[in-house]
Amino acid sequence: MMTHASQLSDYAPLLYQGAKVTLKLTVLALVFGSVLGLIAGLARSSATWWLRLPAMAFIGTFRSIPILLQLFFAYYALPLLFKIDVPQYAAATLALSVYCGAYMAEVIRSAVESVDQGQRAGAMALGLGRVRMFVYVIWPQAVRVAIPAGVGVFVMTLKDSSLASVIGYLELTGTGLAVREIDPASGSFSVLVGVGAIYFLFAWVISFGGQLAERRLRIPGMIQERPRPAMTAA
Amino acid sequence: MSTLDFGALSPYMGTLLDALRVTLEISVLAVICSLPIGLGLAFLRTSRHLALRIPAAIYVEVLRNVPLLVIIYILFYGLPGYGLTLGAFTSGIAALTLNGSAYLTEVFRGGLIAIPRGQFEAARSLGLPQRHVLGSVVIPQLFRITFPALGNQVVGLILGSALVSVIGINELTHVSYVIGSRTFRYFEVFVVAGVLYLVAVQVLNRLWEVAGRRLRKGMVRQ
Repeated sequence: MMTHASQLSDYAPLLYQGAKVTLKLTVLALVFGSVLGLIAGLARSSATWWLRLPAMAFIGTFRSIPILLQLFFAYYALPLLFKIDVPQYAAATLALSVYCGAYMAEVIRSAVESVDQGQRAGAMALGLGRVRMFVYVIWPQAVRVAIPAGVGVFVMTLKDSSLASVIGYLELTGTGLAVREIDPASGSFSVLVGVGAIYFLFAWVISFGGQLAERRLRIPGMIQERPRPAMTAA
Repeated sequence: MSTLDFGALSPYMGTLLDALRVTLEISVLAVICSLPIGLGLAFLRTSRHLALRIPAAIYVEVLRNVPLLVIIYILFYGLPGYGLTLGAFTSGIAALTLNGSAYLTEVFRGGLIAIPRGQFEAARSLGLPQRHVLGSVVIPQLFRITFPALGNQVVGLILGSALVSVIGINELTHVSYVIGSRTFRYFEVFVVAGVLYLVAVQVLNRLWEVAGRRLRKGMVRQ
């Protein structure tokens, strides 16, 4: 155990560097993915067919293909196709953003659709136009519904950022693999478990942030409609 | 843009289809292994006893918050250091099972909560022994309630199975990468592989929807 402890301190700075890269990659993908997901999700729940159909195709396609294959596509196929240079971080950011966006779009769509029809009718009766109805009535309610599932997509994106190591990007997982290759005596198990623990910590922070946001945004007195288990007369 | 030539792939179509079969086999195996573990853990997770609830909760939380890729590496590279050497295939299935069962636990837990308490009480007041309460009353309802969510988990395992390519299992993603590096037709082969995944997932979704509609017909709704 003593040897493990001393070796852990040897490569801890490396894992710290890797963790920073993972964090940067994840945050970028979350920002781009959320914007993309918002646009695609709103288009998907639109009544206009030429907005809805492309959004459906986008969501259906990118949610049905493994992120690893999408990443390979971005890294190996795009450069050949367009004769451009795609560095590892760019391929990883692109693939993660698109994957995150497709999942986020579904979250946004179901949140928007969960808002009671009466709210739309009420807003219309008050004479609100489509834009103001959405901004002032629908969205504030939808965003609260979307938080738990949105947190799930955030955690998924964090975990999927580990795939960037497969194309040789030295983020957290890639660093862990490099450490175990350079120094086999470090004990693959402890290095990799350390890597896993850092992801766990990050995921926990995201979930905690989500709970905090849920609590901050809660409207006192507003009861959120939740599907309740049917009660039988027993 | 470089010229596309899907014809260059024609000698490899059989290989790609074989690889799709491997992907589906791995996924089905992982689903079969995950189901009983997830079901058992869901009962532990909803148990009255803290000593059962806590370990199940830890299992679920750890495996849902650590990347599948890291779990694959721990099983494949990490365990041999402790004298436990699993082959690539076993490691891959085990990692997918650990991951899948954690998600299934949460699905089943949600389902267990959704079964009306009266069902348990009625079954018990009919004098059914405990195992019949579970086997004939609880579990059939649980599967109907969770059926749509189970479909999502199966799709999740199909998509997740692509990750076992990193330890050299010849499933669809790995094989298409190898073909790409051999022919330099990355674009074509990844498009074909993507379409195969897309078709497999969409077909599964449709079948699941049809089966779900059938199941709902038999369900008593209030």
